[in-house]
Amino acid sequence: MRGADELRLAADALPAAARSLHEGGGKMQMAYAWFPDTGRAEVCYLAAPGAGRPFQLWRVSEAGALPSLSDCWPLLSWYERETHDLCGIEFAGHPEPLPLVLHEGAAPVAPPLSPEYPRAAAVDYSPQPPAIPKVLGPDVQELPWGPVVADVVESSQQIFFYLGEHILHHRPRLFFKHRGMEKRFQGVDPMLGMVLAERVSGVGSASHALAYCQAVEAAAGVQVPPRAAWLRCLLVELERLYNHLHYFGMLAEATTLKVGGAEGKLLEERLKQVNGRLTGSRFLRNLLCPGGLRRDLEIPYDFVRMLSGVQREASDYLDNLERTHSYLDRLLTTGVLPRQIAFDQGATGPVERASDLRRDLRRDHPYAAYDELDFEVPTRTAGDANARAEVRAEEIVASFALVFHLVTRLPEGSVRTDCRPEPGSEGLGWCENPRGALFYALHVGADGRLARVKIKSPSFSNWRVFPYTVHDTNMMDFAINQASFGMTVAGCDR
Amino acid sequence: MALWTAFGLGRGQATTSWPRRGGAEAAGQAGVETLPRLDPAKCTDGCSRCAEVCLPQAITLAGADEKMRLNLDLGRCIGCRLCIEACPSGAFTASTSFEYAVRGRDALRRQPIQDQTAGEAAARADVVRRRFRGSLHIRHLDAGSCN
Repeated sequence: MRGADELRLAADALPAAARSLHEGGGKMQMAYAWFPDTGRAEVCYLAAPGAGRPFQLWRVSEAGALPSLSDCWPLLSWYERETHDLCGIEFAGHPEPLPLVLHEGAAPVAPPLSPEYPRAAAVDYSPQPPAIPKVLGPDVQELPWGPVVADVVESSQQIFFYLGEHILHHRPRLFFKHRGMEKRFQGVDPMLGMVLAERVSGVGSASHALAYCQAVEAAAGVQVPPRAAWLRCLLVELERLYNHLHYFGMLAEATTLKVGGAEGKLLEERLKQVNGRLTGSRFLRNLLCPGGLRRDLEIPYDFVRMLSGVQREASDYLDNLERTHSYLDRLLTTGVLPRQIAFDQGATGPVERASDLRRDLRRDHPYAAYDELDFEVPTRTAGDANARAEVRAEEIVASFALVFHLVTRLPEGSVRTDCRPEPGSEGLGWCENPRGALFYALHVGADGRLARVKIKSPSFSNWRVFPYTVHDTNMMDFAINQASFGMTVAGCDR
Repeated sequence: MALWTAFGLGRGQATTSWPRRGGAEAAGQAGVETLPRLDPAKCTDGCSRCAEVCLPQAITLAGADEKMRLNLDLGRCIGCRLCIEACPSGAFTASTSFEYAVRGRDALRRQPIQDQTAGEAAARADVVRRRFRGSLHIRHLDAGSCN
């Protein structure tokens, strides 16, 4: 697979390889399975030995069960469960062999991602209660909140075991929004797949499209022209900006700072209007394609002026938030995520950087034009909700600086080059999405169409981590803590 | 809290003047592309590039081989613009028009869609205002929209 070094391993060599990665200071990123034409499934693990070093793809031909690696890399536990649900692969010794993606009561005729699964057939499903461990004790209450909840939020179910205000144990139940996006990619022309990638998570359209396009370009062995690389950075930084302003609007709203909530969302809207004027799309869609951009962008003459106005207002807004005691009181010491848990459970993005894990794909594994750009990667050590907010506040400052630099120094030239991945080619693409590390692993079939697209979403990673900051806390802090994480459900559920 | 009260009062209203003043500029959406417009008369015989690139299968080509009848179902269209780029004869054009709410799903299956004029939009707003005397609260039941 282009974009990563490859290691072919036998199943019984996996535990030693996992331990060796750990001891070497590396990080496991994700795991998935697919079905090459050979008929036997192949399980792939993506490892990151270190910043500045190439990724590693470990490839294991499956014959029966594989050993679970969750004891060494707890973050793999969800990937193993997902691979079991969607590909039918067993992981021996898994600590929590429960359904994850397909809820209890789902009965597919074959593993949904396998070639035997009849195309466009609905999965037989009769709802069963979730298979979760019960918390026993006198007076312990159980509250399954959702999946339909008030206000305009995505559907998920939050299960609490609690006593009065005290949350004993929390479990998020996701995948109500599972749309089978990875299956939808199968059979699609690689030159059209970015349209699907843009719609996996609506607020991550540009970053998903970028990671996808870079995977196709890796498979085809193609480099985009410089102007395209710079414009791509511009688009994903603009995406980071509106997402982060939305985040502050939601966070202020969660602390019942109504005017603060409205202002954050208004600033988000202003940025979306800037996007609309620049690209024709508020969500920065319909621009990226394998090989570069589908059309060139002309920077409007008043673009810098417009954006400077928003930047000044955003700066005042963040200053005002920082002076508001009622808001700060709710964030300081709330939802503390210790560094070791953040590492073990796979936290990513501003969430991990607020817990002293200094990782950012733009700097550690540069893509597009990031190796030519200077920018800050803010971190904090407190790991509380306030730290997660402060990291994003500084990222807003850094992104504005990047955007101004990018538009004023755009190279001339074409924005697109030929890109045709060969049948049987494979590529890895990645992007630091506003919520964290996003990967697309792509396999082109013998017919030249997509055979498998695996999407590693940062929200999938962070939803796994989130309960560790909720157990043994209180009901009043829950919504604020959740807002401080800033995850999507669509990205996680796909 | 005086800080935010003063701030909020100073900011005033953020609501736009649409549809009293019609068009994208009044709604703050200048430049935002909506769904493509179709001129079936420009469709070239024997070409099916638009249908081939349309992932949601919003574009259909029906009829015998001499003159294909081209149709765009706006209810399926996701506005990805691939048809605009694929068509060699300009049958699809980009549009920034968004004032074409219809009463039923069926009205989106056939082209052309008629845009409201600014006058029609304002007249409709007056009806709402008279009947509901102020704001119209639309209940939104979320089945899974993105934030």
